[in-house]
Amino acid sequence: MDDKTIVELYWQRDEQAIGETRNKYGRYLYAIALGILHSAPDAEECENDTYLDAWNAMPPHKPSLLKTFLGKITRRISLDRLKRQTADKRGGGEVPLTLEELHECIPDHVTIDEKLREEELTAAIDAFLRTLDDDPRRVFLRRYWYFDSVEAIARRYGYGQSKVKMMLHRTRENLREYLKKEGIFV
Amino acid sequence: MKHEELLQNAIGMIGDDLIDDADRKPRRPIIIRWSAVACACLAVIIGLTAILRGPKTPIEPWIPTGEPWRPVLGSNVSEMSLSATQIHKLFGVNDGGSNQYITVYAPSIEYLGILPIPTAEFLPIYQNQYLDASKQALKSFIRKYLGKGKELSGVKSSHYEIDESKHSWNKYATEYKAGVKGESGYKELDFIASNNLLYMTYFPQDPETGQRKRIQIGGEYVSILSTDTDEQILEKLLANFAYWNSFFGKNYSQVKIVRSYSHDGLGSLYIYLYDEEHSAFPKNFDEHFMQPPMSSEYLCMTFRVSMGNNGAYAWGTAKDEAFLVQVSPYETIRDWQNYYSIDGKARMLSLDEAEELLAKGYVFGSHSCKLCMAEQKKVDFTKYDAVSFEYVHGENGMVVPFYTFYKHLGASEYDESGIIQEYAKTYVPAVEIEGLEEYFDMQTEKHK
Repeated sequence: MDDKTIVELYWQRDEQAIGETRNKYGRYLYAIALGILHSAPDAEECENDTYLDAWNAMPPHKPSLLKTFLGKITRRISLDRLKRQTADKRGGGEVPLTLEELHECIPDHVTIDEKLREEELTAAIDAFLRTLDDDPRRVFLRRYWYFDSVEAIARRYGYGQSKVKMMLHRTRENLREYLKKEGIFV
Repeated sequence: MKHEELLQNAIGMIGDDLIDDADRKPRRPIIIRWSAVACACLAVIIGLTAILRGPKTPIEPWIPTGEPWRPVLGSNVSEMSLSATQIHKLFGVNDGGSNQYITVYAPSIEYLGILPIPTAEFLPIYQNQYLDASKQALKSFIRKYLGKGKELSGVKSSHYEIDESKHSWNKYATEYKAGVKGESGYKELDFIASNNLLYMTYFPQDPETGQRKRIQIGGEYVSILSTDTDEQILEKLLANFAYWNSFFGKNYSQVKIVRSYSHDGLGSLYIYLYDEEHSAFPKNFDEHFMQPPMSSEYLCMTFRVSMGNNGAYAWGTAKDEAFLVQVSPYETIRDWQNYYSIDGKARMLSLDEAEELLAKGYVFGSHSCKLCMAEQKKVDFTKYDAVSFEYVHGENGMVVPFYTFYKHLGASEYDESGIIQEYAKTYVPAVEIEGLEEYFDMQTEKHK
């Protein structure tokens, strides 16, 4: 069933929408959650929570790309759950590692404008990513959106792990320079 | 909230197209892995699936792999409107209107190069900038390859003259060509600098017959049977790939095979040797344009079934064997993103919307000619056999996306073996176009 029809089912409040969503994107959403939580039961719960959020979001939303609309919901739910689970300690998995890596992009000593809305930062990062060639952009997003391990990324694209690490390092450096140039931090 | 968490949240909300693009499965190119020892020890990794079609056509088609192309458009690309008049000019159409379709030939639909339809809300409209070629780049290229060209073609002279020309098909920019004369008295070795490419071609001729020579290696002709599969071609030509790499001082490890059919059988094969590391194109773009790999440099091996006059098979064989007639080095002068600019974007029509236009007869086919249109057999495309996607390059430099619909017309009457099939191919714009109804009403009026 195509996305347009599935979204229409949500708008008509037809519960078949959930089943169709699960059939089409369940594996994708589960994979996102599992990549963050590394726990099958937790990932399954986050997947199910996604369907509930989607039911509440449509209407009023009418996404043209249902897959990534849902993916963003799952990512957010999974990260929130991870934060609750690891509130008092740094757990394993890739998420804490990626946070440490992203720390390079905005060092501690700089100040971010308190009035900066998340949307403005998103817009700046979005614009930066579109300046990149395909390979470094995709590697960056596999790491910091999908939370793939360096090894998984290397396997996916047929690179060596050191090449992946170097690409990520350069992209983080370039992102830092870009954000500085855009006045995101002072 | 810590800075890195802020970043992590912000990354989570970037454009859907970027997130989806990163989830696409990467292509697996055909890679030839070279042995350090000898050509005979080379191992070949092939990413194609063999399709056996029965005793008549045991040929593997080239089928694009990977997911549909998804263009990534920057936020600074504005929406633009296109008119039917602009579209009709893409096909070189005059006031008489356009043909309904063109005819193409292939053993079956799988050989037509059907591409998956892109998934996008907007599609880019490109403009060929027709930048002038570089004389300096041509001179450097000649210095690099003149010796090899002479060795290949048998031309003895090193004297060349550079002509500056404006071709009839590209009158918008200057190109350069330098020719070296052979014993025949004609220019047998050419170096060309077009707007975007530098390449070498040669036409060695037998001085007695005037016929074009086939290339021999070690006294043997290099040939491919028209029924050879891609796997058979690769296996057969491994040693040749190594030889040509060594001859030109290259180390290309990837191969793309493109077949061209005519009404009576296989016409030509082009085998491209290239290396993705030198690719100037986004990885999904070369499939999309169905062109040579468009890496920054590559070799092209050209095989022809016949090279006679008036269709005569001058090499004395039936039309089932293609011989190597040329191996040409190519280099791109500039990154394609400088060669094509994005003029704007236009809303992509869904397949449903395109089918509606198809049903109304709002199609574009070929050059305009009232006589051709009157004689062209009517084809009902509403029950089409395949749909693909293609960018059409207009003479004015505009490059616009189209759906292409195919209808099988039957076996080609010119092919005695009965293998080659004839297809009608018609074009429907893949983006919103203004004034289509008025344009086609006008055509109808002109043909009354």
